Amino acid sequence: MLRRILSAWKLVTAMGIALLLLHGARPEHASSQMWFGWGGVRGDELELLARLVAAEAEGEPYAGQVAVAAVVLNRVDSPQFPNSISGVAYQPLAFESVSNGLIWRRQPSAQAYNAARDALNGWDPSYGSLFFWNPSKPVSPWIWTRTIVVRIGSHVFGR
Amino acid sequence: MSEAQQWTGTERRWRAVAALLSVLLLAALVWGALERTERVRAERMYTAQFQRALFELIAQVEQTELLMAKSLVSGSDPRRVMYLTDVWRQSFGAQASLNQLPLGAGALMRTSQLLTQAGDYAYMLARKTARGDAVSEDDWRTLGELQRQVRVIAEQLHGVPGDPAPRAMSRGGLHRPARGRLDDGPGAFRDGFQRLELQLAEFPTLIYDGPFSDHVLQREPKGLAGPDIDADEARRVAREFLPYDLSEDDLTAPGEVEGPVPAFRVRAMRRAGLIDVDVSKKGGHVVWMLDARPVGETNLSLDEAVQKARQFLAQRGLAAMEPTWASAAGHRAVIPFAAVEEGVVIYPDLVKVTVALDNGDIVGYEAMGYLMSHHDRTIPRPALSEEEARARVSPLLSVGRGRLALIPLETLEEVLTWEFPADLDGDPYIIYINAATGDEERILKLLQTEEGTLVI
Repeated sequence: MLRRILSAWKLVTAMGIALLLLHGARPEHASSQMWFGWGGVRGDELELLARLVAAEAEGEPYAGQVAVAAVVLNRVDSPQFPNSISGVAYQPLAFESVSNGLIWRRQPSAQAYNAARDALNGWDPSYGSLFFWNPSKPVSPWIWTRTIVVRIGSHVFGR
Repeated sequence: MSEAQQWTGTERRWRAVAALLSVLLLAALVWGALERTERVRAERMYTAQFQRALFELIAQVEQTELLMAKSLVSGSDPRRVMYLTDVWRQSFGAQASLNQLPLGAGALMRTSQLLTQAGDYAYMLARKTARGDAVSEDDWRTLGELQRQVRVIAEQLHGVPGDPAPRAMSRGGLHRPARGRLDDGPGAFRDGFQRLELQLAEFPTLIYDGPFSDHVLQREPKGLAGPDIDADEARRVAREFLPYDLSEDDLTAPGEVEGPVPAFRVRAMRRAGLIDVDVSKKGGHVVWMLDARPVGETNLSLDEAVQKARQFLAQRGLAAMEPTWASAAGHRAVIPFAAVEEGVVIYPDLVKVTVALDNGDIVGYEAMGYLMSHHDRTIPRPALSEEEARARVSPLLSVGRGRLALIPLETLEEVLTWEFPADLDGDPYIIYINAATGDEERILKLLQTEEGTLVI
């Protein structure tokens, strides 16, 4: 037993640097976010999220704006999408407003910032959705293969 | 004479017009050629970015597969830990490269998930091996299965057009108005990935000790007690929940939610603005509430806001909850409350309350954490005393009074810990020491952000 502990210890000290690096690089995951919110989000990430909300959910009910921000964060949390807010926002062809530049033309309102903050604090009116789309606009038929969770305003949210 | 002169005059005018037109045409041609050069240059730049991502992806996937194979056959534990941690690094890199390809957000989900899980699984095995814990036959079998799947990715990637179709990639991919989150990527290039996605769809559920394990991703609520309700009942629940004098006509139930927590959406009309409340179909619990009214200038202190929130919860039968911290931004304060049982703070059972700092109204409530994890628990007795646990905290820190706290791990497992507020040169930390084993489970560093986080 002692030998096992000692060899484990030697291994840990030998690997110390690698493991330290790992811990530094590894993002604190869902549980701590669930638990303390995304308190540590940077100001520029908050702004990016608010800009996406303003460009993608202008004129939508407030819950719909929070839900759009929540979809971005659900993607960050999902192994199926990039691991950061900027990674998700700038994933090629992921958001129309990034492709057409609307995201930079529109200054987010105070409400868009609050919607981004509420999503960061854990409000998720989309219940873990990874997609949203506007069924009155032309969309790829593929999107309807997703499981629909809820409809808010003119958007459909699904996983 | 005068007639001839006039005629020459007209001719001269025509010649001038013709000359002007040819100059304009020439200018347009030059301008067009320059524009085209610019465009081609920009296109090449984009294409180069995507090609780089594709080449890196192939290299990283091959490396991942190779390192997985080596970690399977390695006879030495320290080597194996090195290979496994390298698998983690390479596969996360591969996932990042993959998500830079211009294929749309929906087109790569399975591949992305497999790469993340392969890395996460290897990380879990590395941790186990480094700790000296036994790694079972099943663990190695799963790693072998994952390795085969990663090889499928590598083989398919080689099938993707060797020159990654710059034309298809740039034009169609970039300039077609992208329909949001849809998968309108370029042709041949995209087909290869589509085949890959289909091939990977067969992989069974993967359950292990990590944050991307399928049991974490697909968890079910534990806290939904009580009988099923109908929409009228949901409206009644919402009316009682909201702290305003609302008549029955003020509330409608315009929709339903088919998520992990099926719910009725109830909407209340007030002159100040709309309020949305979700009430669970099972048990009639309020899942969340959002009040869309604009909030005026701040008149309340954070302490006063905490009192308002506490009052609100107590009136709704949630008295046994303690505020964990508070932050204020945009004239609103968000205060999370954790349940307290037998003097132990139960962090998984969390509700959050938003207070408008202009007049103290409650403008937000969120109980998803509580509804997902609340259940009857038998809280174990701590094997370590507060003093014994304190001795495990780094001697560099000056440590405050400890208290017992149940915290969720990434795997959703709950552990009893001693929670110590600590301080290093004015930087605040919170340290969690496992109350059974004395292991340091987690370190939180409290950040003073622009959003003005305050710790209670």
